[in-house]
Amino acid sequence: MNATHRIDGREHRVLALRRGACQRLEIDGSPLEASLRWTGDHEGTLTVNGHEHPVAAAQDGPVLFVHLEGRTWRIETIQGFADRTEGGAADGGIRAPMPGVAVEIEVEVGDQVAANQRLALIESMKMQTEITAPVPGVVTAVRVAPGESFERGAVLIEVERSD
Amino acid sequence: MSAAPQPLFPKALVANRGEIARRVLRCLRSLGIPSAVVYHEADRHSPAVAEADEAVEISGASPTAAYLDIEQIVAACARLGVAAVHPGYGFLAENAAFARALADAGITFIGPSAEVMELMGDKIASRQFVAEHGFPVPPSVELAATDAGFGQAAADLGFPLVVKASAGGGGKGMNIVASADELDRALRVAASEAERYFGDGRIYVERYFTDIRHIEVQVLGDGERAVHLGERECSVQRRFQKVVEEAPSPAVDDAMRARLGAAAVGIASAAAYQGAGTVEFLHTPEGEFFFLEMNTRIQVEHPVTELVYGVDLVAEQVRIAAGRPLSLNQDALRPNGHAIECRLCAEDAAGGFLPETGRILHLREAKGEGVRVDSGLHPGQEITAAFDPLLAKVVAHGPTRQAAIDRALGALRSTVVLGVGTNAAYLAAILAHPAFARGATDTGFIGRHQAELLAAPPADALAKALAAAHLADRQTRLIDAAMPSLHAAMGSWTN
Amino acid sequence: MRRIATRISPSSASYRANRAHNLEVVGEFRARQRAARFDRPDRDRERLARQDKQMPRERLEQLLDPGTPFLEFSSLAANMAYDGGSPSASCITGIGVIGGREVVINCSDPSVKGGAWYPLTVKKIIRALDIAIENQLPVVHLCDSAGAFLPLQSDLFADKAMAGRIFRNQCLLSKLGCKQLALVFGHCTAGGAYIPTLSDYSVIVEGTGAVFLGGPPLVKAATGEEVTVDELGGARMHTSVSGTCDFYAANEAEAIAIGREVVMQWEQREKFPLQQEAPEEPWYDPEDLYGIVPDDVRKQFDMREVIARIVDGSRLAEYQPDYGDTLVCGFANLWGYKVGVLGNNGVLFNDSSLKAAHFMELCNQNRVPLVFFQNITGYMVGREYERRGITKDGAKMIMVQACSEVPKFTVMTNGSYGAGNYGMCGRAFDARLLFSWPHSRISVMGEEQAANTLVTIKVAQLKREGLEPDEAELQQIRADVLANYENTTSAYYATSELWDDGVLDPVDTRNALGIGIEAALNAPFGEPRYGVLRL
Repeated sequence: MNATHRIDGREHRVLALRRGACQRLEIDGSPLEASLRWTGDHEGTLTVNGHEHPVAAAQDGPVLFVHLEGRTWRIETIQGFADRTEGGAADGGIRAPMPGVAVEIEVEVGDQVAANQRLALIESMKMQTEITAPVPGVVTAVRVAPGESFERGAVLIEVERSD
Repeated sequence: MSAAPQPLFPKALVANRGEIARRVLRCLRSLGIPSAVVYHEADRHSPAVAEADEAVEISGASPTAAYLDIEQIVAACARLGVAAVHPGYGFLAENAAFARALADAGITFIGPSAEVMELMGDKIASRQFVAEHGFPVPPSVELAATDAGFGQAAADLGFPLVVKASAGGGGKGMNIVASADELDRALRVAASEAERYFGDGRIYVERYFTDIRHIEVQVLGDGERAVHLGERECSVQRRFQKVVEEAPSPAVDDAMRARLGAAAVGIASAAAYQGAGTVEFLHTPEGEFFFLEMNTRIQVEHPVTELVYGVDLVAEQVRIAAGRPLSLNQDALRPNGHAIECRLCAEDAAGGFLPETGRILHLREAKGEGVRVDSGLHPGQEITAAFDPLLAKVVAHGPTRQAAIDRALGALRSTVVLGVGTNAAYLAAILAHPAFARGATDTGFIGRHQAELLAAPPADALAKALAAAHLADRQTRLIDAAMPSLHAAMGSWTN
Repeated sequence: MRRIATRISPSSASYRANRAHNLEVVGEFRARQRAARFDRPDRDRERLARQDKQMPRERLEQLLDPGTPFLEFSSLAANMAYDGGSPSASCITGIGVIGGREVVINCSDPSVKGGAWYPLTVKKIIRALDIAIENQLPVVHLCDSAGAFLPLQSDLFADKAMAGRIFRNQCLLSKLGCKQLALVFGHCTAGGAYIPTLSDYSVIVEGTGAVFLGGPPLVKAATGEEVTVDELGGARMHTSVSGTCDFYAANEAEAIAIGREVVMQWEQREKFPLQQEAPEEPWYDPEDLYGIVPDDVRKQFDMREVIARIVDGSRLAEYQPDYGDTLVCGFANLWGYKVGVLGNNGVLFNDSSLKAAHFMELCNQNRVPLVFFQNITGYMVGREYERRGITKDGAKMIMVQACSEVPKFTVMTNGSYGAGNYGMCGRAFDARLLFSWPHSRISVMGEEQAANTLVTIKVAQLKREGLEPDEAELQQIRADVLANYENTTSAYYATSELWDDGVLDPVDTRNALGIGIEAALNAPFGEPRYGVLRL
């Protein structure tokens, strides 16, 4: 179970070759030896090939945040399966392209909608984005109300296809 | 036995959240004024709530709606016996109706009068006001967009143009038009957006200057007299949003400072301005400047002025609101050194600057000589899209501009915010850019250098980070704690 | 404890000849092993891909902790049986690490006849579960098997050491508190259905995983009922209706992730506190083993040279170095752990037998595991030795060895003949792990003696029938006998029949033993106690 990680949309592979106090790793094909000594809950000293660096790290599920040499990294471990704790959306669920706030919801459950019809307006970063129907169909659920905020990937509206 | 000096107000409330709420509370404490703050449930655990003497929960359809709810906030003030309200920036800071509602309840609004706010809040009216008083405004068309001749008049200004909402400001409701065939559509969109956003469909069109500097002058006025505290340069912008600000501007010499200052003081004086305000100017490479707008509030970037002039602007606001005359003399206001502010935001610079959300898992704010961090963050805080993505302001002061840059870079690099993506590396890339070091910071800076600013980090840094992530991973630590040392040392061997 | 002084020279002609020979031997072993592990017909690979199934080794790679060893057992099991129709006996077993915990793996190989069980598959699975019982290790079963290979059902079903033993062992493990997890990737039919059902935890994969006593065709034949695989024993049904399985997984990757989570919840028991020092690599290069082991099984070599390439720092505290010198005994450390080593340096005499018996008693008293390096032609024969009671002394050695309570490990380094095999902890004496080097040979007596005996019998038989074989016929008889004998005395035959836990490249011996010793610490060492010694 070696890990594939994603940083800024790019995938990287970390192979553990040896564990223990000083681990031998192969990162994107290059070997290195590394160890991590914790000095606090989230702070410690990283030793890579004999050189020490102060490091801070914290984890949120599959995402690790690492602060190293003045830079913070968001490193996501890719799992080979869907995380079912998120309560996935039914097919036809329209997901938020970015976190934001719903400004207007223009449809109700039961509405017949055409493909590309505007369903809602969301705001993020002082910019408004239209949410449109990906397929023609019937609105089966509206999961967000005007003024409500949501995370990236949250299902906003569900449309069941009917051609 | 001498009586303790009376505070300026028996109690003051901060109608805001986040870093600015803390900033104002800190000032109230230093002035000996008992403090209160309103908060939405989402901010229940915020430092502002902990640091205020009293805190009142307010509610709303959304967290933002709560902070915009005049009726609820005024009622809370009345209930607490608050004598004055500081609105911070954003939310109700430039809302005349809020100022009036407070006045009706016998509460002082810490800021200029409702009339001045209305005047400056209406971009068309404020431009006319400024022009009438003899200060330069950019070439523009102010006809109603439905008027015949608007399009022609606009085209006559020459492209590119920028369409703005009269009720807009702060970069909101602006659309750039590059050529004539885009104009009609842009006007229609802008008007409908202005109507939807601000409830005021009036728009106007200005000549759009590319690669100019955005320079603003800090003023303080007590209604009788006004002074300026020099300029701030806020040219490093992305999509009209300020990213890095500094004082003084590398493009402004003493003579220019005197001219800009005189104009700003002139405008403030003409409006009999009371409190802190900011007059924004466009500054062309030819040394011309035009009035852009006046912000009748404390600005996000006020700390750079405070560090360079040694003045607590929020305390001055409070004093003026309490009816004290301005204590500062223009002649005594001299800039000292250089200050730079970086806006640390929850956004994914590499991913199209989309906002980032998450929970603050670990936090370590920068410290050090000349470093000031204004932050409202706390561990465990949920960063959502409900509010502005500004997390903290990392500010540094130094005897020279380069010293300030170096300290700001150091501060950015030692700022640890884990749990939500930030633009810290992007900010550091801006400060470390040679063009920034040269002071070549017009509004085209980011557009020109974006590729370099977003350059991927070096591979060895990436490998180290991945190694750290692997070793810090909960799974790795659990496995290693459980594993016999023999298996650990043998590694991935098989027979 | 002193470093063993080496007498070999890498530049010597014998070293170079041995090395060339042994590299060839090991090369052939690796080639056979690679074929057993990976050579599969395209149609089988395609069938698995169509079913969205991974190859069993891909499943294992995801299941085991990265950066940890996997000691595979008997990778060449069944290599000389069924015309090669059951590579690795159609399953993968071994000791691996999941969530830092040592586990025994029992993994079906659906790429060979749907994972059907041959008689040697059953033997290999039973052996893996025996290893789990002896060492009190948890077991993870990766189930994907079509069930018994029917043409050979009489060889795998009814006897004591046949399929029922698998389930008996599962029950015993559970009783011992050794956890079992079953990951159901494919069908578990009939008896196979009991593997997940007798496990303490089970995960079943949607679509491909199924557990039932009888599949749809059998149900149709028996009762006329028409039912789909999913209705009869699919993932949804078993996790929400019958409760036969615990966790539903949408695909193999999720099943493996759930399985890892399950294992990581298991308690970790206190291990036996065996004396340990910081591990140290051997001082001498283990690759020297290729130059030490002779190119002919009949050539003698000094077992100290072998021990020096396997133990920590090449150090050995030799016991009675000047007595019974055809057996080397001494204390050493292996991966830091204290062990008692016994290695043959010639035939066993009375003195070497007594030395062995006494040394093993010391190890039992000291609670130190025993490691046997076999290169033994047997106990010395002849009037003189019988008069001195060679079998009496041999019996003492066998008695103490058989009754030893400390874990034992055996390596067949060269020859293993006659009662020497027994005294030096052959298969019948419950070594926790027993490995063979690829060129080693094992039989009741040496090839020459055996061939001569067999030729004598054959000629006597022909003569009784009135035939008088000429010299050419005698040569032919002799060649036939030798060829057949050689075939069944080779390490490949031994490992095919599961007389060992696998053939090892000599340089892998140190790690294999290390994993074995570490595993053995999961079970308590018993108090020393022996039967009646004939004094």
